[in-house]
Amino acid sequence: MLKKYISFFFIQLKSAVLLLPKLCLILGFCLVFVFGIIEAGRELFKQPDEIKIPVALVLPEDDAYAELAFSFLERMESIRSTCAFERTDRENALALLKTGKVYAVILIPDSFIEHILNGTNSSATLILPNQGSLEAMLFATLADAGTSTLSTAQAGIYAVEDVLISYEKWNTISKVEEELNKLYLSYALNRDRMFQTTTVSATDNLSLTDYCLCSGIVLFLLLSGIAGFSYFRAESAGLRLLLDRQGLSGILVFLLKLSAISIVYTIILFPLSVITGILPLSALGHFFLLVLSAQAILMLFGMLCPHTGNYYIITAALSIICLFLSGAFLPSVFLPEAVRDFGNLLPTAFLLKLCRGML
Amino acid sequence: MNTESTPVMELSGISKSYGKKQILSSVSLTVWKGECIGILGANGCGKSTLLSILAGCLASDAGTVSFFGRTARKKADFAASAGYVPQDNPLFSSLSVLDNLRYFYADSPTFLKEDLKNGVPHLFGLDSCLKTRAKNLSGGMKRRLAIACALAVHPPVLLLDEPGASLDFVSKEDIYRYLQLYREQGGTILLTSHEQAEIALCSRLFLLENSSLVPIEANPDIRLLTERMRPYA
Repeated sequence: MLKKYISFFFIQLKSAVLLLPKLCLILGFCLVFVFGIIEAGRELFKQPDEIKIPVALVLPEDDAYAELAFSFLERMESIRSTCAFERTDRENALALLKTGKVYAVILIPDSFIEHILNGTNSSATLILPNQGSLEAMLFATLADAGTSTLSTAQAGIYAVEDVLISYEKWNTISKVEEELNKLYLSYALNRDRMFQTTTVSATDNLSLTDYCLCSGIVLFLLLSGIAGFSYFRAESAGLRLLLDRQGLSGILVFLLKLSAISIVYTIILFPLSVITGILPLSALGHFFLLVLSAQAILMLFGMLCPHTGNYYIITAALSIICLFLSGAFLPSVFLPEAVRDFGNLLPTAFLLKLCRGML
Repeated sequence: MNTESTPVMELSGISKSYGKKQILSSVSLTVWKGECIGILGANGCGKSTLLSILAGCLASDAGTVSFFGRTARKKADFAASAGYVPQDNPLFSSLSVLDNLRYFYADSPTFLKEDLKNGVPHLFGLDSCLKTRAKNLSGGMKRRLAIACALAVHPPVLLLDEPGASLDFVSKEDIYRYLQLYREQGGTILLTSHEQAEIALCSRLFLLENSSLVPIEANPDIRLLTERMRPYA
């Protein structure tokens, strides 16, 4: 009996090997498709190198303190990475704001820094466009946050100063102010304390190339069913009868055929993937499981559709539709929630997950 | 055991139903060495079912099948005694003629070399198209290949389900000539048929009507036979 199983297994291995020329055609098609998606994706997800809010800054003429203070401010990482200051005069600044070339204008009054130092605290003016853009809103929020930090620091320093004055501790005022300044500055200037970095990825933390590669691999495995119809379809009634007589039940035939084609695919495709650097050697188990799962789906299609035409249409249409719903061509986050939930239940979602796990 | 006095195949009380429909009802038959038994009957009367039971592909509801006096219980017992060619050619269509032969000769690989020189594959001209894929063969060659595969283990009994159906005259003639030779070499044949030429090959004929096997004369009048089958067609 075992001899029959082995004979059948080897004959299936041979049948699977005979599919290879057709598979090369499908592979070619998938490569063109994947590169098309990668290029399209690059266009879709293209991001400018820097996003900065252009802001016009109007400083009083010949105010060395203001010039020094704002040069320092502009060099601060949190400001440098978000804003691009353009120093200009008031008229030009307002013209730039009107034409939308800047999203905000900051007008600094005369002796602004001196007033801060002597406690007079004159106000700077922030002018935003009438029709608030996202950038303008963002800048206003940043400015508010900065002002609020500054006010808190000032309030703290003045409060301590008042307390020390009321207790006539004149000698300690400068020391305490210095300590408090250090403390507030360490909080205000330490960007890590203010911001937490969270990476949000639409492609399951994969690069665009890896994301498309995964989709391409799964697409190829499923479309390979078109080339392998003669293999995946159920045996003819006559052959089925004889196989059954030889002790090869339907389930056993299914399993032997599935193992044979999965082994052939793995032997041919896995070394290619390793040589081209797509997959690490350690992904062999994952890869075999992926191939096995994809072929199992195709064999089920083959059993359900004994006619060539139906099989081709069902394999191609279902593969592409299910892959789309599972987020293979467009990341799931861009799909409606109900579609996303449904797509996650499809076997293609499992295949994609397996494939992404390898990279 | 004296094989000459022991029937090659014996069916005893074979019954089979599909749901409420009784297909075979206590069918019994004794077949002797070298005989060619023809089973006739209207379409759907149960001829293929009977052959499937004799081949061990289908279990009967009741009754036994014996080969050379031994009751066949396992599928392997049937496979060792009877070669079976169902209506639908049991071939691996994407594989070559040689691969198909190799698979069915797996239990007797030494026979294959010999048979390709002098045996059935050679007689059927299969040795000239060993590399051709089965799906690319003509209907006649496919049938020849199916018969050659069924005879791989050199079984003493050959079960054929409508062997000449939808074949051209040449293919039929070649197959009938071989069946004649097989009988002359001591083989026993049991076939179902609607073809006059096949009926002529048979030493005994049976009509399957009312779920039972009824013996009929060796050279039946086809017109009368047709009228007899009409109510079951």
